[in-house]
Amino acid sequence: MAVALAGLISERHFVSMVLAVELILMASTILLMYFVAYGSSPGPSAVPMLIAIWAVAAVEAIALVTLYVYMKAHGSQFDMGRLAKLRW
Amino acid sequence: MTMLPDALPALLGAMLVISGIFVFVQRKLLHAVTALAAAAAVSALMFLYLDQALVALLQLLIFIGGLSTYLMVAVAAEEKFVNMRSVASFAAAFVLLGAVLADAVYELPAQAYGGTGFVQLAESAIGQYYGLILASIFLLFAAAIASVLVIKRFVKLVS
Repeated sequence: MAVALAGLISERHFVSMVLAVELILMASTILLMYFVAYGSSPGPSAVPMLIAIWAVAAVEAIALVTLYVYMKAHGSQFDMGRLAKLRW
Repeated sequence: MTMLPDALPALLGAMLVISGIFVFVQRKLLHAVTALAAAAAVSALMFLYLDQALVALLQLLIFIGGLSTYLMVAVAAEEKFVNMRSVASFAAAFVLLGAVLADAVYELPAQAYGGTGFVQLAESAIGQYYGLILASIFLLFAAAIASVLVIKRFVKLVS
């Protein structure tokens, strides 16, 4: 989680920032399973939460690929510093 | 012999941190996505260590079989990294955040609760919704494939 957050803070490439978020989601699954394995009374609510984390990770990958293909086709820069200056 | 099970979580944690760092220090995006897949594999090993074989299998299927392959095919094959803003800022943020998060999880219980496996939890939580979940997974991957097809067609129309 710390590696991913550090990467999210220090990176400026669009794709690598999304990969950092994927790492955060992976770390959250590990933490959730830690609670299931070591918690004193793990409840069934952990299961939908785990499925939700996986779904968010999958949807994020779909959004990344869609935006990437669109930006690549238009020759956009992937530098977030420049993307932040874009206006509608 | 008893040293190995004690050292295993630390070893897996170190491997996870190293593969996580490799995601950001690799210059080629393909190598970064490969490091992400390695991190997913190590996390699956962690689930095996926690005696959650089903979750480990699902983690492999979703993160390596699904997401990493999708990212490698669609994104990583052709793009290079721009340089990281600052390796020093990454290292400083990693050390600071690692210290804060380690302090936060330090008080967590250290004894395993052996009573409930994930399969029993899953059956009690989503046992009657298997069909709905399978349909959702099918729709999700259909959306993944359709998104690329639609955006490529849209790009052709615009340009």
